[in-house]
Amino acid sequence: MNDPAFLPVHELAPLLQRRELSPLELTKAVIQRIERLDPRLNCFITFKPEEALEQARRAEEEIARGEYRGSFHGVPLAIKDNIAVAGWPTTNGSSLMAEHITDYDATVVEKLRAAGAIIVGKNNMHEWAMGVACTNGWFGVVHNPWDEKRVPGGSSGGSAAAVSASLVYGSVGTDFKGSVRIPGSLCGVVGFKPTQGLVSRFGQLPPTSSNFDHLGPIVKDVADAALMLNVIAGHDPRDPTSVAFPGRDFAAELDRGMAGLRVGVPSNFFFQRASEEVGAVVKAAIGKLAELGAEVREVSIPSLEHMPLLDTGYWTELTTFLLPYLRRGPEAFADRSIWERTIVDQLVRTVDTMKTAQLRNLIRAELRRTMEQVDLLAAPTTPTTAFEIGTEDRLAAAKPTRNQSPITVLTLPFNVTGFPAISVPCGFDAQGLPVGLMLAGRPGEDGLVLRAARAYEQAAGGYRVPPMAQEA
Amino acid sequence: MKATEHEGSAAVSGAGTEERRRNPGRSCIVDGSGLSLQTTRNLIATYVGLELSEDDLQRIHARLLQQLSQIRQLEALDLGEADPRQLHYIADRRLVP
Repeated sequence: MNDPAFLPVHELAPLLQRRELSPLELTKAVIQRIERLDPRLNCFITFKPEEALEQARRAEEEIARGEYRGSFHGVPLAIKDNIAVAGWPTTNGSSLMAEHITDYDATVVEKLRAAGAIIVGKNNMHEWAMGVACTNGWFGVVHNPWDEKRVPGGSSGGSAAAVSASLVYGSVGTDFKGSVRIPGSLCGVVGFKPTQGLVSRFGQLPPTSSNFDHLGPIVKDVADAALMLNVIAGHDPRDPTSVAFPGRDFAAELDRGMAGLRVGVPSNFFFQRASEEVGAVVKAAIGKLAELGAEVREVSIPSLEHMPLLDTGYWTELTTFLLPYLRRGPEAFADRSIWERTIVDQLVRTVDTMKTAQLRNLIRAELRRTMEQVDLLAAPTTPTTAFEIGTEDRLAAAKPTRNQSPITVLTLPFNVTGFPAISVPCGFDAQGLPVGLMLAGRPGEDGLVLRAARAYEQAAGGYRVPPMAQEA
Repeated sequence: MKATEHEGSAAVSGAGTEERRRNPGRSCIVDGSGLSLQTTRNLIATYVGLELSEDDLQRIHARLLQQLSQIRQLEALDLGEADPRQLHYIADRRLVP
């Protein structure tokens, strides 16, 4: 048997079901890996080994009694620290919420627990999920397992770094401007942002990013993303943005391949903003899609060029929540730019927010028309690979608009439109840093996105273990 | 201009966009370069209740100027206002067109 630490869930689950692997022993091994490697990576804000062992004992007993609940039964996972886990703090990466302990689970946590998953801790993140560096001044810097001098991406950086280093078998992140897909790309794992409304946001704290935010899996491979989506998707009346989609098995069509699928490669916006090196790796991956039977054609989406103007109304929901904290001064925010942005946001007029909503709808309409010609869009997830810790200020100085750091620019269109989009590892740059291929589909066609990503992944080789994680 | 000329993709990515870009006089926002540091200080004191230090004031002022510039660009875009049928200020979350 391969070392179970490095297996994806879909290979691990049959071993647990057949009792060839014990949830208790598996969880003990996960705890040991976290204790050994997390001092270098800093992926966790809350880590609860004793509670994890208790959950593992329960899973072991249930499986022994023949009460197997499915692929996540007995599997250790983590949750980003802006998603509620009952009895544990939900900090949002901020000292302002450090003592915020809920007596309820978020819906995704409820569903994962019901599926038998073992929650071992809460992942570190960029403060208030408003940044991509995860150089968190309150809970420490998160390091990229592929190069510990570099950022993991964000804001769900602790989640992606933990999955990449095989500290846990998956995590749930939140994606406001790319915060699931970006760290997925930079850490060499899969990040999937489902169609808006498919996964309940109840228990995401605060829920004040309804217009653009999504919860989604960060996992080792695409098959695991489909399995996790099967667990966490579903209508939830507690979330006003939840949509009642027809029930389906997202894993059922995973192996149908690329044949017959039409893949659009945008001729504007995406590759123009990516580095030549990232663009070349992604174009090679798109070539692989063609080899697998996809019909690849160029498409143009001119309205995306106006995307930076959406920034004016983008943050209003979130910064409204932060308003009471402004008078505590910049010292209340480890990332000072959040304090500054929140102040300036108080002077955005309602009419500006309305106009950004209209612009958003026009971009969405154009993207819809484009996707009448193709089934999927293929593009780089991020313009560059992971940057060095401490260089984010230099990068911010070069950013084209006040809030839009370059690394979020390519993921943003699918937050604005709510279309499903995945980042799947597609190679490395010259420095050995992972590059992500982003595939996006029509709303509600999450299964098709997963199917195409899985076809690519199987041809390209799937999850790779970073060297620092192999040392353990 | 006939209403039908503004339907669908004509807005934003169409020719009307360029016309409005060349005519920034459409914007209600005056050129931000006229915004003084003292005005920014007063605005923040009035709307947010904060007395800013000189360093903070400089940074906030720069961000505010950038925001005003973006608002001017947004206002100069053709967002389809000529055809009220196309105008919605809510997020479109439909799964089908």
